[in-house]
Amino acid sequence: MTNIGTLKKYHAYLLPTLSFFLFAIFFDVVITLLGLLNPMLTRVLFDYAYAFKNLTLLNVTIIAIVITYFLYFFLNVVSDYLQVYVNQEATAALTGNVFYAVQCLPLRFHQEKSAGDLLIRITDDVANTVNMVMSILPTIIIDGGRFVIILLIALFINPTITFLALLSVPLYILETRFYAGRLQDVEAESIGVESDIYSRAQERLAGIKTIKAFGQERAETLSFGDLIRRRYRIHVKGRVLDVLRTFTNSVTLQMWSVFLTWYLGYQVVEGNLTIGEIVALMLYLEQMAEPISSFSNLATQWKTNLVSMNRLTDVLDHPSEASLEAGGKELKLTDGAVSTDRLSFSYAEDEEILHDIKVRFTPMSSTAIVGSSGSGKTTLVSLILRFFEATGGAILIDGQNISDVRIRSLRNRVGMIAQEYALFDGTILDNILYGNPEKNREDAMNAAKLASAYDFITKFPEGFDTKVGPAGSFLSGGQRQRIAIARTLLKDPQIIIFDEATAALDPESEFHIQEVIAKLQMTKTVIIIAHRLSTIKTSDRIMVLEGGRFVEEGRFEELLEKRGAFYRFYWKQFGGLAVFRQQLALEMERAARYGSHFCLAMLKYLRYSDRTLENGAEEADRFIDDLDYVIKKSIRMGDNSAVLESDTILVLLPEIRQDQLKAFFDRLTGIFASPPDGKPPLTQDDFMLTGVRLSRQLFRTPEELVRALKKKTNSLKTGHGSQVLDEMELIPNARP
Amino acid sequence: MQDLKKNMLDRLINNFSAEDLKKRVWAMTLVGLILCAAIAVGGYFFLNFDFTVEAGVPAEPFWKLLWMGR
Repeated sequence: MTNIGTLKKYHAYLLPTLSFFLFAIFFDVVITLLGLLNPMLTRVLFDYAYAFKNLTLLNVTIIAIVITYFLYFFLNVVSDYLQVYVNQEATAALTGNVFYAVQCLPLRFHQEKSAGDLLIRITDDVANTVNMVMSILPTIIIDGGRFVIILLIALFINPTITFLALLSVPLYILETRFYAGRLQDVEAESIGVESDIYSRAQERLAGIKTIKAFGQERAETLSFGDLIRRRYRIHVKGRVLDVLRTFTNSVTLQMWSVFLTWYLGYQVVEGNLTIGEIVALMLYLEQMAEPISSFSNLATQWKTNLVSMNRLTDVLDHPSEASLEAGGKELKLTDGAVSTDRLSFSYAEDEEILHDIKVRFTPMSSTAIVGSSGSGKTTLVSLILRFFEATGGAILIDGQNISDVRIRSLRNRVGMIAQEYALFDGTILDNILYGNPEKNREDAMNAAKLASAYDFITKFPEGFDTKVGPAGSFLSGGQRQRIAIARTLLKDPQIIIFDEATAALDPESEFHIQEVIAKLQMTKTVIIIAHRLSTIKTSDRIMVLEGGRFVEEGRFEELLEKRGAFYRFYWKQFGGLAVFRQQLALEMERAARYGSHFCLAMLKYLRYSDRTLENGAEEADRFIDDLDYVIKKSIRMGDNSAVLESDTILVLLPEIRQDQLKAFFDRLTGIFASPPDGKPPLTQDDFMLTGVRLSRQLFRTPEELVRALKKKTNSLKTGHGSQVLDEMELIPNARP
Repeated sequence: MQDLKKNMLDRLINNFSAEDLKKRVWAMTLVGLILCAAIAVGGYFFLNFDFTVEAGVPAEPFWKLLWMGR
């Protein structure tokens, strides 16, 4: 877009208040004329009232000066009032449009630009643009008018000298061009650093807990100081350039004046001009400098503010998400089946994230998508909501290609619950009703019940009218998440996507969300991206995404049996000792806090050394992994097992009694005695199983507990197969 | 007293609609136009006012004095 095009585009924001703007300019013209009158009145005072001692003239002129002053003042107030109104109206309209445009921008634009950058566009860039647009017309009318009138009078008096005076104008233009270009670069740099400052401050304040936890307050201040110094240097540079520009303009004016004075004097000496003509010419030519200077300032302002205007144009003219409001068809749902047809997607040309995906998410069931980080899980669900557009293939919902559907219509029917749920400052009710203005309090309550949020909400003294604080900070993570779920459920979407929705939650909150998912999968199409074992285990189907391709699918047990990609993923995610330790620590804390209990069991394989000597360490380790796998298959959701060291496996079984533990040991012994896959059986001489039910706080850390159990196990006689111990037995010299 | 001030503030804030604002702006414009009209009328009479000054300056309308001052 050309500069004139840009100007026209933003001038349109003045149109609704154009009449007031023109009135303001008209008043400014009158103010200028009144301003010109005052020196003349003073002259009358000196030349006539004083000189001729005329009291009437003195009184009248003084009254005229006072009245002129008051009129000048009041008209200035009126003009300023109108200009502020016009400015604020235009600013409000433009800010609203820019804010809307920013929200409609594709997600990728938001990912590429910092929050600070967008914030500056919505605030400073809008203000600069409106100021620029508002200063053009008055400058052209008032200063242009003054320039033309003075020029005509000067030409009438002496055209040659007027032309000579005008020769300074190209110099002005050259100087202005020289400095305006540089000032424009400085302005662009300045806006850049300003947005960096905003972004940094916003990011760091959002992460204040991390800063405090790492004691980084001073380091952060120093690093922030670097940005401040950068801004300081840029501002000084800009100021120096501006001072230089004013200085150069002034030097040009002065030198030209000196030359003209000499020339005028020369003309008098030659007898070509009278003294009166010289005085008049000098006065008018001096007055002509003012509008020229105004135009020079305007040109500089134009160049620098063009940076802001172009930044706004970037946002306003950027292709927004296609057919967000209009165009496209309404999505018609029958049962909410989602399928893809050779779906491909890439962020960059040479980096394909999803390849040729062909999948179907069945209605009234849940599908868990698992895979390592970067495998494309979140990208796939983002494509279903059209946060990005597929680069190949199609996504179909009930047979309709979502590319042909209005985005608004699509997003109304597909609900998404992400890990980072946004609650906004306001009451719980406001947050649940967000985006569903037609729904009422009762609907919100029903949605809260469905989202397992009703009980905790009604426990607050103010219930649904409880304030959630900025970004929901008065609530716990689990509570925020359940409110976010209630908000999504209020839309009554047929398709619901949980994107790592339980990743950051404690087991109790996770349990509540599990409940919700279990309810939903009976009636909706539920797609879950999860890392939590409990979520994956209860899904109707699991799909494994690796490197942007689905490599396996099936039920939990089937996939474990296959021992393929899912088994590897499962082992990596849940088989590790670190994860086991975390879970054990959590159970210990729950026991301490809520008086719950859990069982910890230990399996020691007694033939590990012989096996290592016979077949090598690698085979022996694989054998222990196989044993762990057998245990994993036998335990419930929420239980866990891990290889502690070469010959020992730990098993964690929350909330079971001693007799249930004994039964579990019997079942395991039975499986070991007759393995299903034809492997050689294990007798009771080959292993030792010990377990203990814990409900007292006898141990502070998981390590202490495991050490005590290991010591006890090693002290027991072999050949008993399995033994259930009392927790007091783990403490040496303690009476049971 | 505090209540009164609060009430006044509430009224000022809550009773202030976009429509009110537009009315105020129009009223202000009218004031400006009245001022301009006053300047025009007053200026006309003022500039045409005859002053008799001594020492050979005849009765002149004021505008002539201004112009001659130029």
